[in-house]
Amino acid sequence: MNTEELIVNLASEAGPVTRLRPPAVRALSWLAVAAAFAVTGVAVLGLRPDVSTAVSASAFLMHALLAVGLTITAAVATCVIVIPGAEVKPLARSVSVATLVVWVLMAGRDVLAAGNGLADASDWPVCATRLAAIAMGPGVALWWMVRRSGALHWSWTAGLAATASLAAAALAIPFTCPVLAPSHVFLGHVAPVGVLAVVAALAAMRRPAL
Amino acid sequence: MNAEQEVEAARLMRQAQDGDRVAYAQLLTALAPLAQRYARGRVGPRPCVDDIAQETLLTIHRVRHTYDPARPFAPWFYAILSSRLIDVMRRERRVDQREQGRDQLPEGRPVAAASGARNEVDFERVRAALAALPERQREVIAALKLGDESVREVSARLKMSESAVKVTAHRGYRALRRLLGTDRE
Repeated sequence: MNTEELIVNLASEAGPVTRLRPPAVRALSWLAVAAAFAVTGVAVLGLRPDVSTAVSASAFLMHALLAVGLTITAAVATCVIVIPGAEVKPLARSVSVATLVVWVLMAGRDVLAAGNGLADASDWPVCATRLAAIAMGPGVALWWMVRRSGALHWSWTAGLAATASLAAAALAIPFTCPVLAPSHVFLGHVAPVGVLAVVAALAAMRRPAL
Repeated sequence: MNAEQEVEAARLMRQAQDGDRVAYAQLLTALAPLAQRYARGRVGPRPCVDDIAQETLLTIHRVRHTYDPARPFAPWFYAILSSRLIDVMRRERRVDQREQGRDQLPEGRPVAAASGARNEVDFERVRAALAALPERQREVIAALKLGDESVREVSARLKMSESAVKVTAHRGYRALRRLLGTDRE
């Protein structure tokens, strides 16, 4: 088929299309969905007994702030990069990656400062599993949103979408988990976000192009 | 793409998004040589220049709903074009590596000189080339050409959209032409 034939072919089957909503609108819609899943996750798992005192602790607030920041920046970045040419410079992605790195480093620093290494990281797989489970809902929702878009970089799209979903779940977990040990927080609440996001990005590398 | 071309392309794309097929054909006709020129500037006068242009048009077709009329057209277009260029070049390298390692393709009769006469390709070569295609492309081409199914029938049976069937077939035909050495473009 030559180019002229291809053009005739494509034009013959082209009908009206529904334009994508702006990235900010789509990100906001998804954030509402993610919040609903996070709240549901907390409701199912149950609030920790000391939640009223826990939420005023500086460590809790810092982790929550970073989780919120990462959820928002990664969601916005996902909605931006799926539109060809919308990301003039890789700013959206860079901010998300930087936030994740800061969060992981901060949690790692707390582990080192505690001086116990990873010895008191008991039950971290429970929280990591719960985090992944809560993240599935928002993750599926965000993937469904971006699949009809024009993602040219599936690896980045998958990584950022996973990051946003996992960060939303990571915001919920501390409301249910009373364990304060830095190593538990690092392995069960923070590290899974980075690790699973990288896994998602690597898995999407083999996705065929549009 | 100069400013005037960009404004015109944006206008045609808006109309195309609203369902104007004539505007859409005009747009694609205007973009094809731009894509070819861009590709030629980066990879030189190679046969894959037309592949890159066609892949770009196919992608534009698939994601035309993502263009925001409030934003400039050129960044959207060139993002697609540069991405497709990279993909085609990567595919070319993979095909080259596979063809160098593959010694099963039987020798066919020589391709006829470019005298306008129809090129004859040995049936065994065609079969071998077909077998070398990715499974989905092979399935679609076999259904369309050997099974004499319509695009609609193939899309229903393979649970693909009609657009995806056409895109897959197009890519398969191109790969076959490359494998058979009959790519005239």
